[in-house]
Amino acid sequence: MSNDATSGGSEKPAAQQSNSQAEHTEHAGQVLLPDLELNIERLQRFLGGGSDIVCRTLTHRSFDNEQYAILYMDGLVDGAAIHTMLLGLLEDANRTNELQDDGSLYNHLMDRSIAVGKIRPVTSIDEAGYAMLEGSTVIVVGHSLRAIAVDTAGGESRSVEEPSSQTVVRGPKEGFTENLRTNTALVRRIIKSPNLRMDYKVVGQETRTNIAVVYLQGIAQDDVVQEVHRRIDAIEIDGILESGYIEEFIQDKAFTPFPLIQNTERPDAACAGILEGQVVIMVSGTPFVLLTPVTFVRFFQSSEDYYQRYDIATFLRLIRVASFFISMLLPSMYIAITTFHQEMLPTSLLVSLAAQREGVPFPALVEAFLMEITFEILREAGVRMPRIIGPAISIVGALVLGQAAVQAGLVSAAMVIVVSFTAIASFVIPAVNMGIAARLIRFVLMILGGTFGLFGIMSGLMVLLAHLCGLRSFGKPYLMPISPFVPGNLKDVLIRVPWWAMRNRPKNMASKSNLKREGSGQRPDPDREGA
Amino acid sequence: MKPAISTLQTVAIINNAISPTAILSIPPVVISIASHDAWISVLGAGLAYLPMVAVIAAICRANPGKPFIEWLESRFGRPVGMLIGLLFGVYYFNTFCLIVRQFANFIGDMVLDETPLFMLIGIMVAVAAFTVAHGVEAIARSSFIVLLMVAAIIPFSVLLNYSDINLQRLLPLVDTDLPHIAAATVSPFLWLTEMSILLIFSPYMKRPASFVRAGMFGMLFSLFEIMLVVVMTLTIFGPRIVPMMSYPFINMVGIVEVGKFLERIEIFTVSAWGMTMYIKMAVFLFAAVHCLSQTLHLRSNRHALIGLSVLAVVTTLAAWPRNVEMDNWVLYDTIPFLIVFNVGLPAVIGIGLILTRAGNRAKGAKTS
Repeated sequence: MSNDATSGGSEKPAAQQSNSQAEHTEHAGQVLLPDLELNIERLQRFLGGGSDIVCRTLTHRSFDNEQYAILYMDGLVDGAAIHTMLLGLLEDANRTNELQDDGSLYNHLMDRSIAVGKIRPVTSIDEAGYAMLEGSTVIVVGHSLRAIAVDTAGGESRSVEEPSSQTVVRGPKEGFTENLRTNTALVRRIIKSPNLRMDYKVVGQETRTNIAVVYLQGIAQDDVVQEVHRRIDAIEIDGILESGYIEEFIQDKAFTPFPLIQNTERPDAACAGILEGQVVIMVSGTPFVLLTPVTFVRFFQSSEDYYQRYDIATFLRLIRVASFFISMLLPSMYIAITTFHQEMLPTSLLVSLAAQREGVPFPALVEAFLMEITFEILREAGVRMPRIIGPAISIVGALVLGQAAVQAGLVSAAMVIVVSFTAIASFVIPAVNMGIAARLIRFVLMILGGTFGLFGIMSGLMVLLAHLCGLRSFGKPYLMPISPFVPGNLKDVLIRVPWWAMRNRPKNMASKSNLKREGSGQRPDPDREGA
Repeated sequence: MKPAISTLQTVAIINNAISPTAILSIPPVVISIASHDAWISVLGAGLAYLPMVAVIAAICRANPGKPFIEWLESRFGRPVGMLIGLLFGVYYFNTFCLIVRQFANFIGDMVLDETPLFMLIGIMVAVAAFTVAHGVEAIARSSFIVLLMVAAIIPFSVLLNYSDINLQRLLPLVDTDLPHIAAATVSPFLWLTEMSILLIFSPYMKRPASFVRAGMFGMLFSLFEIMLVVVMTLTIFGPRIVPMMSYPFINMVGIVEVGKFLERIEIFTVSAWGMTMYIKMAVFLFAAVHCLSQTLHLRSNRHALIGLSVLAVVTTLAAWPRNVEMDNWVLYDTIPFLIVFNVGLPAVIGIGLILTRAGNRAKGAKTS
């Protein structure tokens, strides 16, 4: 690039002061005018000024030194893409005559000069402004009524890392990031099918958060896909900061402790769901994507179940289900048995428990509540506190609140064991949101167990059962395939049969016309002909 | 969207409408009359009830899928439909109150002897109402899960009691005289008549063609459970001790010891059985609410549900001031009560359907 180029560039921070709301309204829908300076000023005012708006004006030799401006938001764009584009434009601006046959500078830039793949015309100030807010660079041409939005979205973002919430021993280590484009690419890299659909939406009047609805056409049920679109389109809110916002708006029932939409930060888990007919909802700004519809049993499945041998996977899954029930029921059962049904215990155990509780001043229910709430506080502190003081809290938790509380006679040793085992069991559940549900229910069952013994727990479980049976996720019964009973789907519920035996996709998820997912007769058999 | 329940779920509903109270009440009664041949009486009751299954299924088949009372109104006219609706409504409501009281008495006797009865009744009615509020599909699905649980528990129960079972106690076969065996069939027959609940649930079935199958299997599974409990209590305790027991089914589990670390596990059985009782309560409360709201053409079932639930708490407490009155009611008054509503009324409806068949066909032809 020569110094005497006529492309007189001036990179300047915009400094227009304006109060956004009224001016947004003022500029909304205003068409671009054939006046470069005015358009730049209006665009800067639309965006509220600010030092992060970069505007560079260039002059093109071949079009009678017609001026055009390049505007973008610093920090939202990919620096390398901007650099490449500017180089190309500067080089192009210095050429003469031979390019003039295109007619207008706008057409020339649109067709020949921009070294970036994705460009589109924009015709109004708000369209150009919103494009810039999404990371595009807008080229406003002097005498044209149209501008060009060049997709240069980028900027600083977290790289692909191992998911923090759903770790596995065997399996992919990639996790979703906060960047929507990265996330869609992670899915595309796994499912290289032309049937993979990604429908994009923008939700949130102020945040204008990008959302992608991802599914496999022909495998996902059409009515579910339409319902997902309908529910997302119906959301009216100022901002979406995480997929949890979307989840609360689109789930079938508001008042339930149970998650009606699955979430994951693992691309392989999302792809497994897509292959079984689930619809994935990705939200810009969060690594957690939503999967729907979902059934209760899916919250006990881990990605690793399908990478391990089926017998090991089955064993681990049974452990998880047992842990769920332990996490929910153990303290309440302990309270009920020690308070109301001591006759169930053998004499030696009863004597031992009675001796431990002799000096404890509280009834079993209060004792359990004290310990459970203490543990919940410790757990919450563990999540929020700086990592460096973690060991200190562990010592306080283990020594002060465990051993010292027993020695002081505030709680019995048996209760500490029960609460600790319950806590460990709750961590076995792969889905955090299902674990939280079990924690909430535990407290209610403890009250019932402490008030009415096993009859109270049974009544609580009946309420829970009726509630679970009434739940739906995008119209699909939550307890499927247990009730309604679908025998064909039981191959991946409590047990996981070998891959060669799981020939069909789940009937409640996948399109009925496309249930088959693998060929027949694939059971390994060395004696078979040709094997 | 019209709710839809599967054939299996209907089987579970019928089973849970019959078995929970039947397995508790039938063994002492039949064994006191038919001694060690009580199981023959139970079997005979099942055989005797088979034609009634066909009648109930035929009535269900005549219904083109409308809610039961609405269909009766369209078929026999509004006054007759309303009268039958009210009669059924009263029957199901009373039966619901009876079940609640039986369950509350049982829990009071066995587990929570110091808890006031009104609290137990209040909780039971609240849980049943909560289940009903979730709709017929939730009741059907819960019912199926509870049936699965029962089906899983039965082999364990047999296995745990295996060492105490003495099949010699069933011998000699057909030693009791026939009139006694026949007399003992009355009690199980009456409990089996509760299969008529199919009339209320059949319009919600996905496959109307499987009414007979649903009714038959529901009844047969209940019969199997009753038979199993009768045979087990007979072979464990013998025909002389069982009539003296209030709850031989519970005593049967009470003698089990699991190793040296768990004994008196009947409370677990009571808990599992309690789930079936809750389903039974929900089924009958649903039927009562359904009949009342259909008869009175209420827009929302919810108000009827709340009203009937409150009324049920009061009725359950006030109708039987002492437990002995309820026991007498169960022993003597339930016989005409169940026969009138579970046999008589369906039979009258069946006859009415036959008599009005010609007129209905002509009406149908005119409409088309």
